[in-house]
Amino acid sequence: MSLMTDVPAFLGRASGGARWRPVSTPPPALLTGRRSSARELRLRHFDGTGAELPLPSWAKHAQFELQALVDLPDRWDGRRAQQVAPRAVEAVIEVLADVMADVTVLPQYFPLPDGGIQVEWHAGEHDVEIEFDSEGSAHLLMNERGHDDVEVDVPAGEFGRLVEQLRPGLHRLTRRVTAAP
Amino acid sequence: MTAGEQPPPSRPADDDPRITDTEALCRRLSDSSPNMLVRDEVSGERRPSSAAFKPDADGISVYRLDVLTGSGLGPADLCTRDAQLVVTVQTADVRSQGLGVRPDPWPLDVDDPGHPRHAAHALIIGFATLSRGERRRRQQSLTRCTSLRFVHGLLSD
Repeated sequence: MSLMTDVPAFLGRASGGARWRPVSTPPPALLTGRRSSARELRLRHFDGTGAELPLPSWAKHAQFELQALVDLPDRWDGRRAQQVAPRAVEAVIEVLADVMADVTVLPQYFPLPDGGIQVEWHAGEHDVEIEFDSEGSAHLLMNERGHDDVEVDVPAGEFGRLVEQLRPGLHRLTRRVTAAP
Repeated sequence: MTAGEQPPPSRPADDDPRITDTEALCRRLSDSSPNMLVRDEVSGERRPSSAAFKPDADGISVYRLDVLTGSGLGPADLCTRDAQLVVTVQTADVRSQGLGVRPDPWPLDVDDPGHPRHAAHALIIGFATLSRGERRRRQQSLTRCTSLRFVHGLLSD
């Protein structure tokens, strides 16, 4: 079962889509994930021509962390928790592909009992949490001293507004971490 | 209440007042498979992720510490495997968020329904009418309340 839409469709959104810009220029860098077996997550990185590139370090980290979540069984909380849903994983990758750079502080990943995933960054008085539900919708909460609280709620596949808010917030959070003694 | 002071948020209708504000509620989580503790990149502090307090359809599963100890049990008896931790929060902090607590003894949808710890099972309630953002803010508040304590596991006080 593939985790991501096929590459041409992804190319269309990244290069010509009205909602968001590719992370790196030029050429656009794309990430797609594909499950080679029922439970294995494998991320692959392509440029705008379809040539495969090495995975960025943040994507290697994401692959490792998300694999651990994908491997959780039903009832991992001893009660009703469901296995992490493929659409949640896809949504996480799609958002991170548009905001992460090699220097960005790595996020932390947590399973949710309804099959979703929560992705978080915490640095002093700066907190960023994104809840992805099992259908791939995303909800961002960002609290930062000196800035208004940010809340963005978007359906699956329509992450433009969320990315617009998230990208500068992560940039400031990364600066806060690198500046810390 | 003085002028300008906000009234306390109203509690859910099925909040049980027999569970006193000073009663401690135990929540089991794990620090591996899965790890449910976040780490602050600046302070190094570790605390539960708000994901660990996401409610099910009926609420957040907790155990009343007083009922546990009354049965000769303790927080350690909530753990079913290594790498599990237990934190407590005070009922007052739950209610200050406009949430409530009600007993839910002997739930059936658990791995070991006959274990005596389940006599202490309860639910933090009041999420059903909240928006997604309101629900998540309550979850965040629960992880940051001043009464939160690690009582069993790696980070026990």
